[in-house]
Amino acid sequence: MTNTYRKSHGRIYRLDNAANLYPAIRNTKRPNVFRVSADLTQPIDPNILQNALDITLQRLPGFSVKLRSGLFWYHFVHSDDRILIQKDVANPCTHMSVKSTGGFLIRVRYHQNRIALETFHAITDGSGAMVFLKTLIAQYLKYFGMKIPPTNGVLDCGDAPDNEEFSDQFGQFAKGRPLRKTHKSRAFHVRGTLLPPGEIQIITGTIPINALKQSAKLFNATITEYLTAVYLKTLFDQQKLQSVRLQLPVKVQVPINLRNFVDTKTLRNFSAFVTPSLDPAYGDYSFAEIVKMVHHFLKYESTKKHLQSQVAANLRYANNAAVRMLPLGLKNNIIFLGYKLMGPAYFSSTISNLGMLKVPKKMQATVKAFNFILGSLDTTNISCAVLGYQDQVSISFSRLIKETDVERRFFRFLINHGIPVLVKKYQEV
Amino acid sequence: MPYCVNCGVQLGDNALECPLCQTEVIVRNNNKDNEKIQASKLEKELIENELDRSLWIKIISITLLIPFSITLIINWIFQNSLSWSLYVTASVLLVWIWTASLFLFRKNRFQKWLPIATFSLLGYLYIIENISRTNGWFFSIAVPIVSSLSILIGTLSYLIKNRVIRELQIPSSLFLGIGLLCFVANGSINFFNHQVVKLDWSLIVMVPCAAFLLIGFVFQRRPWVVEKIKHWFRF
Repeated sequence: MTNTYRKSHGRIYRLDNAANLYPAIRNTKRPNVFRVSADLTQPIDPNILQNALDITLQRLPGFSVKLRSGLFWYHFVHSDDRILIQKDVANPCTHMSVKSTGGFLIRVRYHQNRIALETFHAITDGSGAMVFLKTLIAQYLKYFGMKIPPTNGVLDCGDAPDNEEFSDQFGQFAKGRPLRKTHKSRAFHVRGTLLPPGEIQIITGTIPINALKQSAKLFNATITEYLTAVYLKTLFDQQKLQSVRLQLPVKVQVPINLRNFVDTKTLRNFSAFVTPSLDPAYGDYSFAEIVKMVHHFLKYESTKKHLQSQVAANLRYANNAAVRMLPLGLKNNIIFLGYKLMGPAYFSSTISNLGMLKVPKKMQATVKAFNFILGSLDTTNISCAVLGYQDQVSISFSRLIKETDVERRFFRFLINHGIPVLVKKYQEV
Repeated sequence: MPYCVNCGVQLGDNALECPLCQTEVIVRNNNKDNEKIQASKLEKELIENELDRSLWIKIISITLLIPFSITLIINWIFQNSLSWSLYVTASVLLVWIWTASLFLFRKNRFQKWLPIATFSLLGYLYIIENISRTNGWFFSIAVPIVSSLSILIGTLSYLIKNRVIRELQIPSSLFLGIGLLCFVANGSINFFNHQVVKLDWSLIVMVPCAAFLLIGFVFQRRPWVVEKIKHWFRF
């Protein structure tokens, strides 16, 4: 085990296709950091957590990496320097500076009963981060005499690292003719009083899953479709409040986990995006209409063939010979410019649903709750993360503005539909 | 479990107010102190308000490169030599050093910028002296005035930053600095013109400066005067 770990020191990992974007655009305003956390039934012992982290990183060396720039591309270099756990803070998901993380791209934090993993998006996506967190918790609980079986996304730390876990699967997934870009219009963005730099406000609503399912069933929709529709309606109504003269389309970006379509063990980024929208040019929409539109849109856009074509379109630019030959400095500027021109200006916000989280039965008894938080983008100002665990669904809004209009509207809508919501601030969760 | 009377949402047992509408919770399970202790355990991580420094340096460089190159080209085309354009290019270069060097440093920006600004200004004046072929004034006038101005600004900023001088003492020290700077200017100009270090008009300037200095330092010892002045000036 130790030998395998030592062998991986200095090993170079290529960034996956989606990850190439993040280093080029990251700064304190766009940290591109998200967080998954778990609340245990017992207070966290920092020494044991540190030991558990050390062992987990030996099993998953792809997380113990530092970002280095080459002549043409960024790459990750594995480092066996120790990643030290940190106390949790009131403003999570901040920029991962070399000073705060020692050059690593993950942070493990603890506070009372909570273990949290914050990760730079270039390393992994929500599903990958959740596998790391579950493995870390299993390893932590092992010190208390609990043997958690390596099932339901928990990895066995006794096994050697698997190369497939850090492979870029986009190339294999992409098939067919690259999707042609259709004309896109700029999207509405929530505006408000900006918080001081580095500050983020997080409000989490916890909902009984049965009530949510029942309500979604009334509209023949899944939970993702239903919540996306509620979010679209919330933003649509918010736009009217903001007294914007030019009413722009409201577009919500929904990540789709591509692991649902292919059998892969990868923990790197492996998701694509679909963007359902509402155009005010067609007038007002009833909620039933919105759910129906979202339902059909997601059904059509998240078919395997469509997503393969979308990924192929993304890969086309990365594989372009001229682009590959550009030096990194120039490439970064082009990526940044492309992001500014075609990135968040074309969607209003993001709603990311990690789905129902499954953990081994033994772990269920010791983990009260899981939580998922997206770092907010400076342009969209607000984002929403959804995660189901046991009989609850937690919906976390993270925002960079003081006003809570969107969250209030969203949760009030659910209450009006007979769904009880327990709302807590991040500090209370 | 408490509810928000405004939003209708359930709230945490220890919630003091609704996170959505900030309505105060009327019925609480625990006392306020308990909640405050809980919340205070999470401290804010300090984030450096980092500017996109390289971007600003690029913007400044490109913006100044345009007049820089256009001036040189025009001068070369019309006169087949570089003459008047050297004044412009030297000035543009100075502006570039002054502005771009501000973004070079993350911390103690001003303290690090000041020596760069001083030396670049001296360099600029030296070039001007040579181009204009008016030898003599650089070492006798420019060097003493620029260096003493730089030392004065550096010292004042250090004293203010470390709170050695504060409130009324700050304008008083500033007046003292102006008086001393006039001494240097007066002395060096007289030396340049008459080869004698002699002080005349600067002594007259120093009188009100010294008066302000005294007033500032005396009134600083009387807090009610400081408060009154703060009130007048809406500090």
